Amino acid sequence: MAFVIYYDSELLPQLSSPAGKARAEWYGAGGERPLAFFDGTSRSPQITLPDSFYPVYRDMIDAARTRKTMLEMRIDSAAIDSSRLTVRLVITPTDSSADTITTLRLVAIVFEDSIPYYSILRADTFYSPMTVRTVIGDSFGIPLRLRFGQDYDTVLSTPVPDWNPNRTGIAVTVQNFGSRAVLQTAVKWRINQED
Amino acid sequence: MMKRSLMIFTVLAAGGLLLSCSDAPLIEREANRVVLVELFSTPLDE
Repeated sequence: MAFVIYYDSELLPQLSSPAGKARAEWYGAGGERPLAFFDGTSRSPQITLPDSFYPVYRDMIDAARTRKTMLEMRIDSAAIDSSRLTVRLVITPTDSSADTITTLRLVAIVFEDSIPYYSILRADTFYSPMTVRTVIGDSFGIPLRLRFGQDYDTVLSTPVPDWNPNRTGIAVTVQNFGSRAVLQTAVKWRINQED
Repeated sequence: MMKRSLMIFTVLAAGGLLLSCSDAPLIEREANRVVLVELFSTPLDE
């Protein structure tokens, strides 16, 4: 499983990203928070009791996991050098159905783990996990066409301005822009560390 | 005559089967799925 958090808060701009605002609008998130999407199409119900998060989310993750997919993806290498992130990945279609989808996008979500922020109400410092910094290309990735029998091999790159390079990771996903369905995801939690 | 009819039938049936299968996707293997969870949240003070 890959897990990322978007913020579109004006109160704490250091946690927010243009991708958070753009993707919330695209998903039709409205003002409901927290709100989760599982593989793009399953929207979490509104949860008010913190204890009910885990069983609801666990069931939705299990349901998403049982859906069939038509491609494999792996991150071959990833590195942050001289304030630039570079990732090499390979996608292998395992089903010829992938050939017919013309609205695929390669969405590479760069996130930073454990970003500190101060809560005035609680008078304490908290840490935000897996916080989205940017999506490579734009907030909806880059167009992608796949051919059954052919590996798709590519290198993606983006600047890493002032993020902690030791806490920066990437989740790369193939998403159908038409249906919002996520077909496959690969994740590297911390780019500058061996898994 | 009967043999010939049987042969024609076999050829037509095989052709029909081939045509009906041509639109079906080719599946090499089933891939393991990694689920993406995108959470939209707000900081504690909101």
